[in-house]
This record gives sequence, structure tokens and C-alpha cells, in this order.
Amino acid sequence: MLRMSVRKSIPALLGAVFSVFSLGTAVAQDGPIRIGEINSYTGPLAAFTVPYRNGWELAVEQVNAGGGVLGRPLEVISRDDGGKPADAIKFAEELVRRENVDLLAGTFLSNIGLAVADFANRNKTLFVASEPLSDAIVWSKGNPYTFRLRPSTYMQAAMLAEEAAKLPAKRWATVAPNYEYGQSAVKAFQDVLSGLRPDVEFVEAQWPALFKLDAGATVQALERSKPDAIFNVTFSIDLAKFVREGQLRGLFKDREVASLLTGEPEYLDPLKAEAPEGWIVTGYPWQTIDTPAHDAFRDAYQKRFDDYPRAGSIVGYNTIITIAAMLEKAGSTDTGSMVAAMKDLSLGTPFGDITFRALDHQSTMGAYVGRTAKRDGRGVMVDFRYADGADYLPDDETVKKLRPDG
Amino acid sequence: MNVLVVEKLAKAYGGVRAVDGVSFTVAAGERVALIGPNGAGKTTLFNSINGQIRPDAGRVTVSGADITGLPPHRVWRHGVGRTFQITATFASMTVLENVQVALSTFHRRATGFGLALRKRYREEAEALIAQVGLSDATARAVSELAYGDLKRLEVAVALTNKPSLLLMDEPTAGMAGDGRGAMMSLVDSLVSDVGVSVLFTEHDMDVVFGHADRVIVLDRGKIIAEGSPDAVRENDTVRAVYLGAFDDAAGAP
Amino acid sequence: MSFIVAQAITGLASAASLFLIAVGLSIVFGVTRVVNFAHGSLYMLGAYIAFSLVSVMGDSFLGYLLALLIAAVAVGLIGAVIETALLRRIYKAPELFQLLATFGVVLIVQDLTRSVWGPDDLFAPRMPGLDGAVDILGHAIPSYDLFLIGVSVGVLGGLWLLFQKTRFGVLLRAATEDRQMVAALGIDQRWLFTAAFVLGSALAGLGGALQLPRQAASLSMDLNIIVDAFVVVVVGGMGSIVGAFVAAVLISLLLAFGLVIFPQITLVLIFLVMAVTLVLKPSGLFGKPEFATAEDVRNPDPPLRPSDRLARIGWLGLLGVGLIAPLLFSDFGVVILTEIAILALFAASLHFLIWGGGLITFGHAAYFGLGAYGAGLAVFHLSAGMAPALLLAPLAGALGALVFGWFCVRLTGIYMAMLTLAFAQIAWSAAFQWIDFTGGDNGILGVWPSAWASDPTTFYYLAFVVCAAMIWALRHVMFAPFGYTLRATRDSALRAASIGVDVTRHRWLAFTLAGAAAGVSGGFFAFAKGSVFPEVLFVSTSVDGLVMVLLGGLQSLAGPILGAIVFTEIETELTRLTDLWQLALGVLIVVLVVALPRGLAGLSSLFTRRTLP
Repeated sequence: MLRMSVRKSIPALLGAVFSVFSLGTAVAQDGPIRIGEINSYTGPLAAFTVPYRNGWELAVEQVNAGGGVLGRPLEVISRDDGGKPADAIKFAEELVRRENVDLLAGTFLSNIGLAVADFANRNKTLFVASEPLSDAIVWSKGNPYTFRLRPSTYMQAAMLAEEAAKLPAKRWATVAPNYEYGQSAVKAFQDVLSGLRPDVEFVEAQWPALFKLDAGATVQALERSKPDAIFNVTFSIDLAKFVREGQLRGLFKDREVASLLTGEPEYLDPLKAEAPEGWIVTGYPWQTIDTPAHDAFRDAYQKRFDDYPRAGSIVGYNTIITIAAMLEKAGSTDTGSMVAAMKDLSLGTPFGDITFRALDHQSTMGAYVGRTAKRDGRGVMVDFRYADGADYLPDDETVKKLRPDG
Repeated sequence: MNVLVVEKLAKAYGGVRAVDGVSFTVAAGERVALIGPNGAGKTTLFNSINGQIRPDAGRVTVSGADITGLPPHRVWRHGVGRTFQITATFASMTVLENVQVALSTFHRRATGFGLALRKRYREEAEALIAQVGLSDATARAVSELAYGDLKRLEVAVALTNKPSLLLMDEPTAGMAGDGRGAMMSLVDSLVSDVGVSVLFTEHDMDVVFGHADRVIVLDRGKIIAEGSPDAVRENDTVRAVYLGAFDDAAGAP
Repeated sequence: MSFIVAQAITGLASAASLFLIAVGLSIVFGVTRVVNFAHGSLYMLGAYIAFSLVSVMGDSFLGYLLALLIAAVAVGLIGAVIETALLRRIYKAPELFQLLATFGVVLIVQDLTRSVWGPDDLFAPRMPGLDGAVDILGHAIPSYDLFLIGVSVGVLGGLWLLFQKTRFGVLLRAATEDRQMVAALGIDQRWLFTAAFVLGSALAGLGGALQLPRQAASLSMDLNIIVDAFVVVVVGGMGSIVGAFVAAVLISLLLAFGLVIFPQITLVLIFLVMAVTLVLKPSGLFGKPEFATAEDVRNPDPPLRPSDRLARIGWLGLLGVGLIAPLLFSDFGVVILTEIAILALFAASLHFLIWGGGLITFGHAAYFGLGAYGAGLAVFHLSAGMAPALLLAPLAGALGALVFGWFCVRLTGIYMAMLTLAFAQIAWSAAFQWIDFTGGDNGILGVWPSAWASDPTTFYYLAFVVCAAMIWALRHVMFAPFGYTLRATRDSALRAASIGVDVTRHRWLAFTLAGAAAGVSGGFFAFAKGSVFPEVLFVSTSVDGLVMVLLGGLQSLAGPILGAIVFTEIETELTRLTDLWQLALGVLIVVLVVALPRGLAGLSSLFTRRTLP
């Protein structure tokens, strides 16, 4: 008897111990549409992902206030990957297998975006990669289940190269963090600029380790090559050090600088009064964009969070309205229908209309290109224009070659 | 026949000649005591013989084989066993295991991955343990042993390679009077039963004069006297160095 | 020529920063023998506190300067709290526990700093009066750089005076050089240790505060600086102030000129310097050889007993649970179980080295990561299937351990730990920056199991069976002559050598064996995640392994398994529950080290007759 009861109770006991791992969530057809979201909410990246989270929260509230989609509210189940790809995969597994989410979204770091995209492909789950920049996500490592929202490294570098080509500068130096993003950005910039201006030469390349920029020595090395202009890819704390040392040492005097992402408030604002002036940048001039769609977004955001939107906020917001528009078009949460609906999906956003290209699953969301200036002791973007992403992608034949899996 | 031959051995630290051209021999079955005041170079000499220290000059041969400058684990292969002033044993093992580990090295199975150690060399180990009188403690953890038993265990371990020469650094240090006598009786019996030679250092002059066949006196790295215990005891130079310590017969500080 | 001068001055300014952070670390180590991982966190706090003060009082040169000094003092006080509340309790603990406890403090400070100051980088204004540049041979050199060089020389001089001319300094020196002497002098060691730690902390705080005019205060400052600081201290010689200065200058100049010649390999360069130094001069340029600490006979492990009936039932039970678990759990449960099985092997291989051989490694991630990369690269470059890739994993791990281990086993104690860390970081840097071969930061994708094993349950069984077999094999080796001999070298290297054991070679073999086992685990990890990223080689992976081993209990062969189970559960749940999970994990580690040094397995002793000392 005792033996019997022990035998029976062991699984029960184990079930209790591991209950956290065994509970699944029943799939409810009339419950909320569940979106599994993964991003790096802790650690040094929190400065970028918190505004992003505000963005998607705002969109979810708006969509649900309007009655949801397909008669169902949206629910976002969010996980923090702590900046580790392996943990992101673990949570992707959890979201898909235990939380039974209908699709995945999010990610900031390129490597995590790629890891989750690969996971989505294998599990035949739709993944809307919101923030990662790597070209590989839609090109060399592109897959049928992954779509990317934000303008890629190539697109933003191409926007800057177009402006750079208009300058008289012939001798260019580059400085970029030594990892995939930095290397891709420099290569894209060089390729596009050399295509537009065959007379340009690249005279110096500095590759500081990410977040370990030895600013004085790097600035000195750049100065030594006497370039006409500089292409900068460093960001965050590296950028702050680079700007300060460069200004002190006169590196930027009489030199043009083209700088990737530096116009985004996430990167420009921490520089405060030392924000560089006259740099050609991609970014997000939230104060001065003057379109009804953006005005509405900005007002709603400021009202909801008592803070101004960052570039990440737009991306977070657009992620959710993209998903809502896709669901509306698909008419169901069946992955096949959702993937089909994502292709050539067009929607209006605070940045204007965007389309998810069927060709490579990249959205045509663009960025603002302009020059930096100082107003009231802080950096802003002036003389900017909206660069539509559609105009900064290679031609279709090239893209097909870049994207092996179709 | 000489088991150990030391020729013109020298070792200096900085400018200090810790061992300065020392030559002596130890014959088969002989018990030789190495004495001298603190800092005379006994330990350096010992360590130069067993390979912990690489001598600057000179030659050491054991049973005809040149072992000068070899590391300790290779010196051991030439049949040299060693005990330490402060016992060195494997604290996380039992008495039996301590001996078994040494036997596994002797049988060149130290890198064996197969059969568990506890199933190997058991009888051989128990025989050695019996030889040093520790049979009652065979299964006990070393950490529970009294100090005198640890010293005995060291002897058992030192015997695993069937040595022709035992180097014993102060075999009775840290032991009470009874223990010292018992320890030295053990050494005597090993010499008579196994035929091993013993070179030992010692502070206790009772032990030295009661158990050595020959005494070598070291001072400032040099041999100042050598001979039978009686001859050394009467040697004026030695008396001068030791300042009458022999008369107390209680041992040097 | 003028470029060389300008670059040298720039290098010296970097050296000044590096010296200020490293010297405090060195002093703390010299006196307390604790390698303080949290030193970088104190540096970061210095910068944050200074930022807050500067925004209130930094309008003038003097106000700014005062703000920096107050920040240094404040960090010194924080150091006093850390020392009295935590370190004081663990001075007698093994080095590994100390390292881990201070790593717990790193996690705690990280989250607290984020809670107080927020996640944004904080960029303070330049220092009034020193916000310009000076022309030197046609190059503009920031005047603050010159100031910084002056400050570092001043600190060096001040410390020299303190150590040579004051009683406190003499005591600190005595404690560094001969611990018994201090005890003999009748000094209250506790007071001396606290004072040394406060001094070291204040120097870290000053170092951080002085960075403020050069760079933004950010949450990545702590880990960014600490590894560099370790390198400086180790190269200079632990405990040596002059050594820290010379090493800081040497490394900074090397980096300043290195980036002109090899702009791509700066990350590797610094670790190469450290590895070369340790190999040529194991105690660093100015360090004294660390005398092997007296072998611990007071509190030895109990002898290893073969499993008794109860333990055998326990092992079989564990095996049984592992075999039937997939039937009970959801798909995601199976995914977690797979991770547990893989990490248990990783932890067991680490435990094999630490407990079995007394070999303190802080870079075990290297072999786990090499296994993962071995498998991943085989798939990526050779289009290998899962089976051959998994066979390659242990070879990669073993080969790495064979090469790295050859150097590492020649050192002992904390120097060995640092060298293992350096090798792991070299491997990480290579994976991170050698993009053509490894895919760099973007990793290797598509490392999914073959079709026959693609079902999570099938893959789980495969991983479980192989990992369980490997763990059993490691356990068996501990009972075999190899394991006993290894433990013999740990208990008494002297005795082991005098019974014919080639201690270095034996340790090297153990290192290689553990590397192979970690490699297997890394290979499975790659297939479980479908991808390989440089983070598998990073120091945080090594720390995860150590936490598992210590959590489970170092003295138990079942400890690593227990540790892997509990750690994986805690980590998974914590990150779901709270944004402050680093804080929670840090507190857990600290509590573990202080209150439960024998780990979870040690809890069982509470229920047995034999009380442990």
C-alpha cells in the first residue's frame, strides 16, 4: 500500500516542485491576441529600451481603447533577455511553448535579433524584429518568418553617404566600434560613397573596442592622417568621449563629420551643451517634426509618460501598430495568414506611410537626415529632411543575391 | 657499497652560501645523522638531494645513478623516500588511501582511469601500514590522527617505492619523549629488516647519539666534523659551535 | 616625431586613470589578500556621486575639485560598509568564495546605481579652468590630461610618503609582506584591514570621479574597467604600488601606439601582455612570489566514500527523474531540463578542477565556449551534421585546455585564477572581433539539431544521456587513481612530488580532461540554442558556473548537479519576475558565501549526527 502511494505521489511531488515549468496557458480563441516580446530591459541598454517599452505600451493602450483587433484585445507578454542571446532564446522558447503567444516581436541588439529570428524560422513563428539594425536579419540570414521594422545599418549609412557625396571632401577617415555593426556600417558607407564619388579615398580606419574607446589616442591617430572628413559610427559612452576629446584636440575644426544615429535623442541628449555642431547625422528631431501624424503621437506620448519620445519610442509604437494592421489584414492569428499579410503590408505611422517589402521583409520606415546644432544648451537636428527608407535600399536584383533563402 | 654519494654540492642564495662544497657518503644499511645549528644548511642540503632545490654545483648519485638536479618526482623513482619536518600527508584521505595513492604512482598507474583506487594494492598497503604499526588506524581519516601517527604514516608512504635511502627531516620533531623513542625504534627496525639506509637531521641529541651509526656536523654550509657519535661528541670544534648543548643532552633550541 | 610625443602624453593620461584604479585594488589585495571584483563598482560609484555633486557645486574650479574629493571620501565610506558588513566575514574563506562574494557586490551595486541615477549616461561639464587644450609641438593636448598626469604622480608620491613615513603605512606594508608580523605586533588586524579597504575604495572613487571630465558616468563602467585593472595589478605584481604605476604606464603606452599599428586587436593586446608577463614572471614585474599558503589541515574535506545505499538511491532517483521528466512536463519544461542537464555537466567539469584538483579557475567559460564554437564552426564552415559537430566539441575544449592549461598549471592560487581569466578573455576577444571566422558579435546561426533529434524531447534525451554519462565518468575518475592522485596534489603538492607524482603534468592532464568535458557541454549548448555567440566565452559564463558549483556545495560530488538545477530555476524565474534580478542574484550570492559556504549539499549536514566544524 505504502509503495503504491509513494509511486503515485512522486510525479505529483515533482509536478509541484517544477510547477513553474509545467504550467501551460490554454489557447483561448476569444481571449486576447498574445504577443511575445523580448528585449534588453536591464543593464546598460535600459536607457534605450525603456523609451521603446513606453512606445509599445502606448500603442497597445490605443489599440485596445479602440476595441482591439479582430474583436480581441492585444496583450504583450514581455521578457528581459539581459543582453544575452542564450537567454533570449530561452524566453523565446518559453513564450512560444508555454505562453502560447501568437507571434514574437522586439529585440534591440543585432545578435539577439538574429538569434530570435533563427529561432522563429525553425519554429515557424512570425517574428517582427523591431530594433536590431544588422543587415543580416533581412539579407544574408533572412528567413520567411522574420520581418524588420527599423531602417537598417545599410540604409542609414546610405543616407549619410548620399549627403557625404555632396561635400567637396575627398580624404575620409572612419572610426567605428570593432564588431559586426561597426564593420558593416563602414563597409556600407564606403561602398555607397565610392559608387557616387569614385574620386574619394579612405585614408585612415580606427577600430576601437566597443565601449572601450581610448579617446585621446584614437583622436590623435585620426588627426595624424589629415582627413578632409570623418565618418563616425561610435555611439553611447564611446561617442561622448570621442566628441569631447575631438573638440578639445581640434579634430573637428574645418572638417565635415558624418555620424550614424547621432541625431537620435538617445545619443544626442546625453552630450548636452557639448553636442557637436554641424555634423551630418541620421536621427529623430522629435521637437520640430511638423506633421499631423507625428504631432498626435508626440502629444499622446508626452501626456501619457510626462516625457518626450526618443527614437526607440517611435520604433516601439510602430511595432504594435504594424502588428495591429497586419492582424486586421490577415483576419486570423494563423501564422501562415499573418506571414502572408506582412508581405507588402502598408500602414500609416507617425513617420508617414511605410511598407513591408515582400522582397526582403524590410520595412521602408526611414530616418531623418540633417545637421546637428545647439539650441538652449542642448543638441538638436536642423535643416533635416525625412529620408524614406524605400530610396536607400539596393536594387531588387542585388537584394535577391544578398538574400539566399528568398 | 655506498647508497648515496654527495660530491662538492653547493647552493647559494644571493651572496649567502647555504651549502658550500659538501661531500659525504651513506653506505647501505647505515644510519647517518646530519646535525648543525639553525641556518647551518641542513634543509638546503636535504632539499638539494631530493630535488626540491636545484644545486648550483656538485653531484649527487644514488645507487650509482646521477640524480643531480632532477625534480623530486624523478628522484623518487631512484629509490629515495622522504619525510618532512612538518608532516606532509593527504589530509582528505584515509591512512589506507594515503599509502594506496603512493603505491599507484610506484606501479605507474597514477593516471589510471579504470578500477577504483580502493580496490587496488590493498594488501600491499596494509602490509606497509602494519610495518609502521598503524594497522588499527587503517580506515581512519588522516585529519583525525595524532601527530605521532602522522609521522608513522609518512614513513609508510615513504616506503612505498621500496627505497634504498630514506631522507628524514627531523623524524621526532613535535613529538613527546615516548613517541620519539618509538619512532626511532621503528627507524632502527626498518634498517635491520628492510636494509634501507637512513639520512636524517635531528635536534634531539639523545636521538642522534642513540640511533646514528655516523654523525655529520654542518656549520655555515660546510662539514666541520664527521665520524662516530662518540668521536663527534668529543670534537672541540663541534662543542664550540654547540656551546655545550651536548651536556644538557636535551636538544638544541 | 611630434606625433610620437603627443601620443605618448595621451597614453600617459590614460595611464594615470588606470593607475588610480589599479593601485587601490593592489593595496586591498596586498593587505587583505582579497581580490575585489567590486573595485570597478566603487570606481563607477565615484563617477556617479561626483556627477551629482558637480551639478550642484561644479561651477568653479575649486568647487569642481571639491566635488571630486568628496566623491572619493564618500566611496571610501561605502567601502567601509562593504568591508565591515561582508568582507570581514570571509577573510578566512577560500579565494574563490571571496571572488564570488565581491562579484555579488558588483551585481548589487549595478542595480542600485541604476535605481538611483537611472539608466541614461550622465555627461558632466568639463572642469572649469581645465576645459581647454595646450599646444605641444603643434598638437592640441587637453589641459585636463596634463592635470590628470600630475594627480597620478601626486597620488603615487603621497602613497609613497604614507607607506614610508607614517606608522599606519608601515603597518600596511608589514601586513602586505608578513602577516604574522602584524599579529605579533599586537595590532588589531580588523582595524587595519578596514582602513586598507577604505583607502583602496577611496582611491577607486577618486579614479572614477576624475574620469568625469573625460567621459560620461555609465552603468558599463564597472566591468569595463575591472578587467583592465586586474591586468595592471597582475602585471605590476599584486600588492605593489610602484608595480601598478609601471604596469599602467606600460600598458597605456602599448595601447596608445598599438592602435596606430594594429587598430583591430587592441582588445587582445592587453591580455597578451598579461599572459606573457605571468609566464615569464609569475608574480608580476614587482610582485613577491606568493608563498604557498600553509596547506589547510585544520579543516580538510572528509575522505571520499563510495556511495552508500542511501546515496545510491539518491543517484538512481536523480537518474530516474531525468528519464521520466519529459513525460511530466510541458514542452518548455523539457527545454529547461535540457539546459539543466547541459549546465550540470559544465558545473561538474568545473567542480572536478576546483574540488578535485584545487585548481582555481576563473575562466572555465573558455572551454565551454570553445566546445560551443567547435560545434558551431563545424556546422558553419564545414556544413557538418550534428553528430560530427558534437564530436568536435570535446576536442576543441580539450585542445584549448591543453594549450591554455600548459601555462596556467605553472601558477597557483590567485595568479592562476587571473591567468585563466586572461585566456578566457583572449578567446572571447578573438570570437568577438574575428568576424570572418566566427561571425563576431552576430554569432553563428542555424546550429540546430539534426532532423532525427529535432524534437525537444528527443534532443533532451540525447543531451541527458550524454551529459549524465560524462558526469558519471568524471565522478568515476575521482575514485580512480587519477582522481586520487589529483586530490593528492591538492592536499599537499610537496608530498605528491615526493611520492613520484609529476604535479604539473598531472594538473595539466586534469585541466585537459575538464576542458574536454566542458567542451561536450558547450557543444550541446550550441545545439540547444541553435546558435553560438561570444558571450559563451565571457567572464559572466565562468561566474555562472562558479555560482552553480558553490551553490550546490563544493564538497559534494552531487553539488554541481544540484547547483545547476537550482541556479537555472532561479535565473529563469527571477528575470521573469523583476527588473531588479541582478540585485536579487547578487544578494543570493553574498548570502550563500557568508551563510552557506558548503552550499545546498552542506544543508544535509544539519540533519546528520556529525556536525561539521
